[in-house]
Amino acid sequence: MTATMVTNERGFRHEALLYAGIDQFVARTTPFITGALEADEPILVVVSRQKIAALRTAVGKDADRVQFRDMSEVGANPARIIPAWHTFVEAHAGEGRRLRGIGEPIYPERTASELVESQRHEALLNAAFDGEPDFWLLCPYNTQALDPSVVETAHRTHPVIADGHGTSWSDLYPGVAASVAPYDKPLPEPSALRATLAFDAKRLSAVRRLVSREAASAGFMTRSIADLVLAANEVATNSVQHGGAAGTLRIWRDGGVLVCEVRDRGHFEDPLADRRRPAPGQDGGRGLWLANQLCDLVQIRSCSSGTTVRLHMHRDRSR
Amino acid sequence: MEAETQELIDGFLQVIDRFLNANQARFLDVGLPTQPLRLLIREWVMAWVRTPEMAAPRMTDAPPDAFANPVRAFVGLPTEPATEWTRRLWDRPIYSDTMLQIVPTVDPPGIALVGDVEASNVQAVLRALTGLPSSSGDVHLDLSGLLFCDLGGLQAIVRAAQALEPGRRLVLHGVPRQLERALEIVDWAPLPNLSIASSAPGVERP
Repeated sequence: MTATMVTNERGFRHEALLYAGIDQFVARTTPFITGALEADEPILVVVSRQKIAALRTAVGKDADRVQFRDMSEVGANPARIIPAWHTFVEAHAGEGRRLRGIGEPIYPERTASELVESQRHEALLNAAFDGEPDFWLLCPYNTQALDPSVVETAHRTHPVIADGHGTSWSDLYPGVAASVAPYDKPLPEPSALRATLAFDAKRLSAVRRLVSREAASAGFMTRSIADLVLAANEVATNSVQHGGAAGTLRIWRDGGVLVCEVRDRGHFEDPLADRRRPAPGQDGGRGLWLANQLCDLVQIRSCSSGTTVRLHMHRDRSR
Repeated sequence: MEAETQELIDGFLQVIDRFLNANQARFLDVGLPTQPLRLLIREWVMAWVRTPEMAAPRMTDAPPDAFANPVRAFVGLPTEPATEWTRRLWDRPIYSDTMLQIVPTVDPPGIALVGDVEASNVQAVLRALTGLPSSSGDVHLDLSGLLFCDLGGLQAIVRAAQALEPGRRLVLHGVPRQLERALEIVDWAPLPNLSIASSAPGVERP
């Protein structure tokens, strides 16, 4: 117990939990779950299937009162995780009870691009639930399996750190505003392009044809082709309507992943724009939401000089 | 050759020409130049007409429908059995550009969208939908010829449904699976005045 010990304040508490190996994972998360059950606080746990099984055994007969969801389904594209938490929070709005969650979006199987977007997701959580009524979210990090730099980033994206011995404020956490500051870290350049196309409002059909052709020649199933064409068309439509009336489409392959990139001169104001469920009455503003639901990964980089959106689609999509 | 038959053949070939012109780029994409195709179809029609045992061809309102499914396969959308959802009045188009035709339908009354709906022609779709007959009863939208529809097009359809007075519905026929999914993803599917007809005309999903 140190002087920086964090007490259970009200509001959103975003906490990284460091652990080494599955046994420590179970030992350090089980008290959090049973604590929620004892206090009659709703709890949603989004982790791997293997960990769900281990936690069910550890919690015992009360495990049925815990909502479990598979992170590889919910968070395959990390931009879909915040909407899942929103749904959970909204379902219990007005009950006056504190909510608890465990979410492990970062695990060793993540590809480099997925990892970067998962870290972005962790940072955006601080803004997404800022001021929400009591919501305590625990994000486990496996120090045994993850690169030390990944664990260090967890200190930057979480205001509170727990390590099994105590809980403390993170010295590296920059605050809510800095967490959602424009994300303009450049994306890695592709090694070999398949196609490039400059487009304007009159050439959206050419965008669709090119994406369709590249996805077909990469061996995609018809449904994935249609999904990617729809998503790319929306992003390109954003460019012609809000991004300076024109844009550039580039397509390349990265292993079994087809990447479609749209660049334009527009600028994004709202970093959470792509993960806020659109209201039925709202006009427009659904393109990036749809892209996140259809694609395996969406990378957005925006600064004053322009916006880049990359849509990633796996050839072998089982999810 | 009888003048009536000649007229029929000319009309048939014209519709095919119109279709091939509108979709030339799609055919080229999959390596099918349209000119040889055009000649082949002309030859085939002529040979067919000269065959004595052939009965007179049956008049149909919507010959391009026969081509809708292969083209849909080209763009990667699921193929569905060719069904005539509505009777389309091809000779009275409301709107036409290189990728989209909007034609009125009777039985049931409404409009059919054939081709691609995107940012460049969504205003035309919106106009056509707001100009729908104001009489009582449901309004029908035949989407079985739709090859692509962006979210702006989807929004135009949803807004048109919402603009109907209470009790009237916009009934969608032949909705491509992709479009149905998009409706669900953007949370537009459960609207009281928007109804999606199932695979058989006249039967609606609960």
